[in-house]
Amino acid sequence: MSFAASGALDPRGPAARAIADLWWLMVVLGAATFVVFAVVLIGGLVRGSASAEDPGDERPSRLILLGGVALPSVVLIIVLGFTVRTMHTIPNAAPEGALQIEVVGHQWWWEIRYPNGVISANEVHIPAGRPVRLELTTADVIHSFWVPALAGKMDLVPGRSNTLWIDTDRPGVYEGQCAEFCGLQHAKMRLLAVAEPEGRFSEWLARQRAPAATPGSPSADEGQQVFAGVGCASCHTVRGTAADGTGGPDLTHLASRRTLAAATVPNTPEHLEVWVTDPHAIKEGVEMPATELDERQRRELIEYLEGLR
Amino acid sequence: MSDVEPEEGPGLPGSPRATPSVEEPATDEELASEWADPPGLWGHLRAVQNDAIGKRLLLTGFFFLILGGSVDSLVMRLQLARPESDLLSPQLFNELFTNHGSVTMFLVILPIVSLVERPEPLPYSITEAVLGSDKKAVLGENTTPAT
Ligand code: HEC
Ligand code: HEM
Ligand SMILES: [Cu+2]
Repeated sequence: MSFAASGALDPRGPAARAIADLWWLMVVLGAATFVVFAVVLIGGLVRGSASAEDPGDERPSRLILLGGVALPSVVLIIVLGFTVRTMHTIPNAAPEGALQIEVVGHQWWWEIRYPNGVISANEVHIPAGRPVRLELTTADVIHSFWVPALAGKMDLVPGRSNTLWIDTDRPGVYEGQCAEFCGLQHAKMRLLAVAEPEGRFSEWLARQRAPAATPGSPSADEGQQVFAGVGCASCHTVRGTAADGTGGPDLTHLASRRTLAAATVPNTPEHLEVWVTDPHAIKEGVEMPATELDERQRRELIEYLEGLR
Repeated sequence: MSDVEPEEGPGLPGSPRATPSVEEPATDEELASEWADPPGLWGHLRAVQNDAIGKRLLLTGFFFLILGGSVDSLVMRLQLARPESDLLSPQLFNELFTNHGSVTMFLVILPIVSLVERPEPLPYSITEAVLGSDKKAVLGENTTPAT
């Protein structure tokens, strides 16, 4: 499924723009080299077959020196120069007023932690126009954080913390993807980066800071009992309730998120219903068990979860 | 490459062999038969000559290129040809590219690269282009013990 702009060649931030420029330079140089090579090769084949009778004519040395040694050296030196320059343009020190967000990789979802204590999942909200410093760590194996439209890739490595700067002045929703094979559902370990104007971002962050909404109806209240009763709370936190598990994503504001299961399906009641009873139907092998629920329990549980705005 | 082309040796047809040879005919013959490959497929598998081993490495490489390089990669590409395709389970896809990566690196590239380690100098025109014709001796033109 596709939510938003995702292309590395449609850059929406300075780092991604520098990388896209480098890519274009390499494509142009590569294409030019290919054309020169193909012309010389075809020329050589035509002339070679014409003078095949005369093996005495062995003077390819100039061409080999130029085409085989000089040309590749020049092309590679140019590429090296621009690569080093690109590496320097991408920021690696703290700019003024940067916001720090922690990203923790899990098999196969992203935990996102904001400085005010908000913990969310699979959706990185950033203020457009302000540089953001992502601190990348992992709870299990190596993952790699990649939002192609905003920046390059950075690995999440066990036992250390890596930094990635993202920056965009263009509000929008950008698709991301885990870019280092991390097990069975690596392909379905996606995320969204949501860039909003500063004001909207602060409002969002303040709303996320609030504890979970109290169930708005008797059946939603029943749903909360189901949630606690069938074991969901042992893996999921819902702030403001007794549920404080940490094995899975924080569900305090689940219904405010656009997607479920690391941007695998849109967050609709239909998908949520399939997910809570049999998550493996959506994401085979996922680290969340299927749960037997009767018709009524299921309805109440969905109503409760849909109320977690 | 010596001035006198080595005679066609025993073993694979058409292959000049770098067997040790000496002037004295009886010894030369004895050396040739010592170094000859035993006959048949079993003999070929026990060959000690570079050219026979080289061909075997090349064939092995291509065999595994077809097997792991092409079959695996074709099936992977079929899965990736359409979005949300469920031709392969995630487990099978992961197994395929692990197999593809291991097979191509260890059973295709490795034998073919080790084949390139040849005792002879570079082909004439490149040697000459880089070093000039009088410097060929630097590369050890007559490394094969032909005389
Ligand atoms: C063994 C721990 C475990 C239990 C028990 C568990 N979950 Fe989960 N849950 C997870 C994990 C891990 C994920 C992340 C899956 C992924 O995307 O890879 C998850 C994801 C979810 C999500 C999607 C969150 C998001 O933002 O994408 C919802 C909703 C959810 N669980 C609800 C429930 C409910 C309801 C129950 C009880 C019926 C439950 N879970 C029981 C571990 C668990
Ligand atoms: C016939 C043409 C080929 C095709 C179509 C092809 C296709 C692929 C594909 C689709 C993948 C990625 C799978 C994934 O991560 O989702 C892949 C990975 C890989 N390929 Fe190829 N490939 C080809 C030839 C080769 C050759 C000749 C080599 C070796 C020199 C090679 C080495 C690798 C390696 C090392 C990987 C990474 C494996 C891993 O992640 O475990 N491939 N190939
Ligand atoms: Cu991954």
